[in-house]
Amino acid sequence: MKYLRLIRKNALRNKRRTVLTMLSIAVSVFLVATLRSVLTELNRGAEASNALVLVTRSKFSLVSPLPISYWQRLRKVPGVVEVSPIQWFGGIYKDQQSSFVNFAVDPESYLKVTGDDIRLAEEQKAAWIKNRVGCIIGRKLAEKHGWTLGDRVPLYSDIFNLEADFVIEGIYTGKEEGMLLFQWRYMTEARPFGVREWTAVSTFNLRVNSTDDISRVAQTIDEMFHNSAAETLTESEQNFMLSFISMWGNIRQFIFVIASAVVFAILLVTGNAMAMAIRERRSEVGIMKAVGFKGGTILGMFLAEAVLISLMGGILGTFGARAFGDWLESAQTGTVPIPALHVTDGTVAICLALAVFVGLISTAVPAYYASRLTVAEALRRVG
Amino acid sequence: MKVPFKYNLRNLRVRWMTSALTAGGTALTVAVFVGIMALSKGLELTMQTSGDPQNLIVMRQGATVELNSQVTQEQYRTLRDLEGVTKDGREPLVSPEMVVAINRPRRGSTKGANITLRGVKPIALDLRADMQIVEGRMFQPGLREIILSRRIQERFQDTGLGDRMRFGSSDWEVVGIFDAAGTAQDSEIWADLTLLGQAYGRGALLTSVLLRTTDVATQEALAKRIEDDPRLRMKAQQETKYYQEANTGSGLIRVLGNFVAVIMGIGVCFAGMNTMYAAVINRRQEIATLRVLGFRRRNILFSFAAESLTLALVGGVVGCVLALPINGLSTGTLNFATFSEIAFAFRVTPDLVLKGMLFAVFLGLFGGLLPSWNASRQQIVQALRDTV
Repeated sequence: MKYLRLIRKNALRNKRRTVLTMLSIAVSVFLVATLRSVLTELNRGAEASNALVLVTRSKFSLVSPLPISYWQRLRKVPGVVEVSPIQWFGGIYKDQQSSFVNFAVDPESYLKVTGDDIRLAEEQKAAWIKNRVGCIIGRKLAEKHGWTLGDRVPLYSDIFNLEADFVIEGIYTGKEEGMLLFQWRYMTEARPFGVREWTAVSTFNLRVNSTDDISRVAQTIDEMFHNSAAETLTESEQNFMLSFISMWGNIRQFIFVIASAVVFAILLVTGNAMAMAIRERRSEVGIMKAVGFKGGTILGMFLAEAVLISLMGGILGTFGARAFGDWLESAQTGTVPIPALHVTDGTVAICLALAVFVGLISTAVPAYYASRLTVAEALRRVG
Repeated sequence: MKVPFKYNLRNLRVRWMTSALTAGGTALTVAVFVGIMALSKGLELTMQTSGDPQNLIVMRQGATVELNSQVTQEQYRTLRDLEGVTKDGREPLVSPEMVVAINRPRRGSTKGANITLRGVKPIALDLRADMQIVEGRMFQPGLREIILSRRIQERFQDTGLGDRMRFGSSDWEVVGIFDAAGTAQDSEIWADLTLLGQAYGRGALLTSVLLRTTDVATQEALAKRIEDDPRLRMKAQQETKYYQEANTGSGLIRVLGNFVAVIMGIGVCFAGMNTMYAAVINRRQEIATLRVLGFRRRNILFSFAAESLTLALVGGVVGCVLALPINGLSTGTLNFATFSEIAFAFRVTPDLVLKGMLFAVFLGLFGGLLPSWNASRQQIVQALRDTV
């Protein structure tokens, strides 16, 4: 681009204006990126789900338990490869803020159902099964707290009024590395509420042979337990995750409204500032036309200048959001209620496009009119 | 001598496009701020007004919410006979309750949300002065009938009078709609205690017991007795305190609101500053003329700052007006403590409007101060001579 030098010089002519434009766009982009990241984070759980895994839970609600006796019956459903009982423990480590997800599971079946999503060394798996109070944790979780094999993790469950001390027998890697998993038989032997035998689970996770089996298996299972004391609802793991998000309410709509308001507000004010700036440069346009530049070229240069500045602002804002998200993640360790704000590449792309959009729209109209001025008009207007 | 304010007003009117756009940006920022704050306020008010200060809620020791608590029939019987419990004639005002949850789809969606389902005996109504049945009637004990809040009826499918809900392998009919004056009960469905226990396979295991006490002193003594009694060893809390502690959402939303508003405000301020700098350049001859006439630097500074402030105030008013319609808008979100829906309404209160206006003032000052200072420092002769 032969005019790049001219464009750059124009941009740097009024440094204060350029900086302020960049900053205002950067700040708005930062906000939009952060807001969008809240949404992408919420969806992450759903996206990370395995297409071959179904979740069976009580039809009444997520907090109603299912009897363990369903386990064997579910295994017999044709198309089902393996069934794994899961009990939500809700254990709190130290305090609410530093808590993480923890479940009681049956090691063998759980690992079979999750398949490659969870990778654990054979000897660690054996050590886990052997130790009644053993547990395995995700690698990210281990790194966050600086835990290694053999460390003890004390947890208190408010739901069961139970204090537990688990020993780390394994560290797994995989899709999701933030959980702590311990043995279901710990629950039966710990006997929460002093009941004789603990026979309830929160959900059953099932693995099917192929995605074609999904709807048939789901239907078979729910019909099997229809009219029983504990009716079931079976759905894909993805739908199960999505139902959590929908419980937040119209959060998608809410965030969209706010983000739109932000963009619109910035557009209004920046557009105004740009219009005034271009009006000032009328005589400059006149001179350039007198020298021989065409209107189209002049328009192009104005737009290029705007895009350059707004793109810089967009980059600043997006990477600021990334830095902010990273800082937030290291500053807090809980899984609830604030989701970590990881700015995805998709968000970056959208935000940069948004910055360019704002730059173009706010400049387009005034630049167009400026470029259409005749030499005489442009030079006549002073001040 | 002060620069006459008329100059500023006239200027705003003459350059109306610029004024409108800048005011618009401010208005949107204030509207977003007030909107998010109204969400938080609505949630907060629901929790603050919930519960009766004369009631004691009793759960097992260590439970933070009713859902996680277990109370046996034996404990209930012991609680009934305790001294300090108000009697209605000969009946102690004691309500045994069982809180579970049920998943129902929202209107206009296929996804469901958990709703708090409370098993009660008719006496439960006597301990809740805020609740009124506005349509239909209270359910008959022993029958599979339910009553639910107006808010739940508005937000969830199949919840009108006469509709049926299925759980515990049978159908339950909606026979009444109640209004709980915006308290936590406005997010609940009520059914017969015994039948609900059977449906959920809990037998007679309660989650909580509500007691009416006569005054604060008696209440405190009673609470202590409940905690110390070896037959009980339970947790007794004033009902209002229970609901306040169960509120985890509104603080978070408030933080989010402040964050979004402040960042957005900064962005708009930068853009506003940009506009104002350009305006100052545009008006440099006016400014120079004012100086020649004898106005001092600080008069110019003050004048421009006042203009920015006026514009911001106008934007603030427009913003508050924009946000007002959402007042009373019903919505709901997830209460993390109970993992169930908490229905509430946006609330735009006078103090929120005041906060919004203060925010606008702040925007006006922050965005206008530097350019105003720039205007005051401008060289007179150069400005008069310049034709560009």
